[in-house]
Amino acid sequence: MGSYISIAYLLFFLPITVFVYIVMPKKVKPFVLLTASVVFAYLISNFYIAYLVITTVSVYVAALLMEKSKQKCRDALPAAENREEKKAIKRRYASKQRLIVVLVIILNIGILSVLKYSQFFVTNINSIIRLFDSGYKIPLPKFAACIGISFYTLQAVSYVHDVYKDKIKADKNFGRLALFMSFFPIIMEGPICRYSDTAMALWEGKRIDYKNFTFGLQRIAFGIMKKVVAADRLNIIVTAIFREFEYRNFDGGIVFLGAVLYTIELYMEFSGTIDVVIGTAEIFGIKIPENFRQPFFSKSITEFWQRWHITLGTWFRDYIFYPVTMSKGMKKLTKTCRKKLGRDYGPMPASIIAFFCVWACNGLWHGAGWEFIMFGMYHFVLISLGSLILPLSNKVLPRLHIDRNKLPYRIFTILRTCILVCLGEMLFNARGAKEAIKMVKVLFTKFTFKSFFNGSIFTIGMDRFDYIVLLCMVAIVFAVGLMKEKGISPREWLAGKHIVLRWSVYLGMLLVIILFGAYGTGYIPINPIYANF
Amino acid sequence: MKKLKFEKQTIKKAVASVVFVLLAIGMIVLLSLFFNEERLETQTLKDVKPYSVLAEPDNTLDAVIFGDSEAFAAFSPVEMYNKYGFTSFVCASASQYITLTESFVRETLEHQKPKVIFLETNAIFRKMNSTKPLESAIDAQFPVFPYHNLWKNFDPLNINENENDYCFRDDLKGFKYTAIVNKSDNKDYMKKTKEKQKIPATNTSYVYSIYEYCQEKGVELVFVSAPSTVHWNYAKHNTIAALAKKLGVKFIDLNLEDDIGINWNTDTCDRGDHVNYYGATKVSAFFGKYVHNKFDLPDHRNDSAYSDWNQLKAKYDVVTGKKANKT
Repeated sequence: MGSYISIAYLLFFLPITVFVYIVMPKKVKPFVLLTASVVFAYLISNFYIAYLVITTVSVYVAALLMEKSKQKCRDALPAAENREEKKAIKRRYASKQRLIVVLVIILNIGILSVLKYSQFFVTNINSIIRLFDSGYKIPLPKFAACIGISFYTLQAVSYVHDVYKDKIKADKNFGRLALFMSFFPIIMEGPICRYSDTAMALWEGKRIDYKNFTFGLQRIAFGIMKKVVAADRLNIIVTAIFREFEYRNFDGGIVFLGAVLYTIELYMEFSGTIDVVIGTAEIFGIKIPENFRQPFFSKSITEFWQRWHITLGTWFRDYIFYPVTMSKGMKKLTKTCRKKLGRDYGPMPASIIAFFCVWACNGLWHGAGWEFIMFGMYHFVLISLGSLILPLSNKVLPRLHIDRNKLPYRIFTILRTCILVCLGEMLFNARGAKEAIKMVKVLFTKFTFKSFFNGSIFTIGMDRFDYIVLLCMVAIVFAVGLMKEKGISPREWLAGKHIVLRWSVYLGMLLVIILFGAYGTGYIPINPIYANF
Repeated sequence: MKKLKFEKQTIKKAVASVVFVLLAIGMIVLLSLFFNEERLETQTLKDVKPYSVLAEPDNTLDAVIFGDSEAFAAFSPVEMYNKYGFTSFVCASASQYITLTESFVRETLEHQKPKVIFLETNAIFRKMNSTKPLESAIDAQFPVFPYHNLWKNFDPLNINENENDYCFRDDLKGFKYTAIVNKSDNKDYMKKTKEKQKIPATNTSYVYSIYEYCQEKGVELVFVSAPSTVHWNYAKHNTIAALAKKLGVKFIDLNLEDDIGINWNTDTCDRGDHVNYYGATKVSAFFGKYVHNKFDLPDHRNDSAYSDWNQLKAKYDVVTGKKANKT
């Protein structure tokens, strides 16, 4: 089973799990989900599931040890004779807890780093060695990782960190924690859940009700439509543009088209899969955090990252950005800078350092390669520039009589953000950093719309019909996004309509998937892009 | 009373669900009446090359080559026809699974009586999902799934104006032309070994099924391996050689034929995964000669019934850049 959008998952795994879940008594329901999750993890990762077990056991034990230490501290405090002694006791236990949390984070991030980054690390060391002509080469390590390791490792870190910070209590129920770590809809591509939001609901064993069931199925159908009709259709042309760029002499127009189409493909694939994930959880009455909130309505790159892969963004905010900005050194820096640079620019040096940490990690999280670091740095520069320019633009725009809230300005900022995002995704999907730089060069030195007018764009993997289907699909997703932006839930809205309209829409979705889906002979479905991260 | 109301609601929802499912199945059945093989025979999709074998007039092909992208990249029926006069077709698609190959063999042999069919061996090793046989069964029951792309034929507004229309016979006869050069550094890929690479169990049953169907139809089956430094090796060669011996079929491994003269610096478009046009020209010259010598296929070059084949050369030269396109 390589994907949620597969016959194996949609016709076998999910229906069987739902059936067993329905027939089992309430107390057994969580165990049904846990068993299904373990089976699913085994099916996608085979025996590499052992890494998931190590992570789960390690955070379970570490959290309990911290909890025990906290309890001991609470027990010891009444015996203290004065404030100094109380402080000393707190310090003693806090340092022990800190040691536990640091060790368990090092263990889990260490596993992730070794499995994911050791090859990249060794390749770079070999490049340096080559400079000295020694002829020595370190053999490349080869490791296979558990699918979804980048997702569940972040969940594990957030769990122990939150226990350490007293935001949540350590869970004594190993089954519940294991289910939170391995819940089958989220294990492959996220969203990255927080224990406080999800774990209890998962273990509750809620009854499947009609509304959740039908709403879940509708969301799954919409996700399949995005993936099969749009993302898989784009796979051929995007692969052709990015993989054959080097030797097909494409002009800048085609490169730009590739950047735009890849961005659409990535969004349709990732958000489509997340729709299937959230729809699946919804069937079981479990609310999973949203990962997308109409990202292409963003007016700035900062806003884009608040709407795109939201759970990753909030993870980096809570576990990297805040700890860095709130550290003693950064607080001191901010204080000093405030005196010298004023209120507007004073906090910026600390923020920029924190942004750098966040975006270096974000780039590396997406993959081990310089192109990913470049992708992270691209966004770091854009966001930092945005922060630096904001106070200035706040002063300049009113003087130029430009109203930020007026529609033309909003459209301008949305388009600007979309173009910047597309360029970032182009760097992300290029075959290495060198190729990315070449593409940027072609984009700016050989830009022409000639290929659009002479019909070349219809010969790379999509004909005119494919473009029409793609545009219709983008229009549908845009319309749904617009409804959500206006605070209307499309499914709730539709549920209130006459049965003829409702069923026409549902059957229409099925019709679109069957007829306009890019599946079967001549198409190669795109692999789950984010499952490899 | 409350319980009764609850039960009524539950029954209503259950009935509604059943009716909806039935409607959905009805829609699929209805669509299958419009999207199926019968429509395909007269209206063939250009972008789904293998299907265009069905657009060839009945009993006009002397040989058919089945397989995945390795096949459509390496064999050019027009080159072989121009040199030896036998008609052939490459019925292949990218990443083709052996289940699909089997259904293509069956569909093709319903309409054609070739003397020999060639099975390019790369697809035999392609691992399938466990649900692939089920998918094939669903495709057989509901043709709308494999033939859904026929919607592109309904083009009243002539949207694809600059493309040739979709109701066409493939002038390249299944061959895919590309002149891109992207060299391979892995030239030493056929290192001798006694090892064998395992064929996935379900795949073997499909190969047997193809073999039995050919026997039934009186068509000779031959295994052929197209040159590929990425997908082929000696362990695979050993496996196919053993299978060929077991079934009593011929096997020609073009990866071991030095006489072809493949130059991996110039004859591949993607670092050795597939040969490009220059490689295909060499492969087709060698393979055409082999087929001509071994199978005694007729020469149609002076046969007026095959005048359309005789006109292909000019079109082929335009596509391959040998001649400028005057239109």
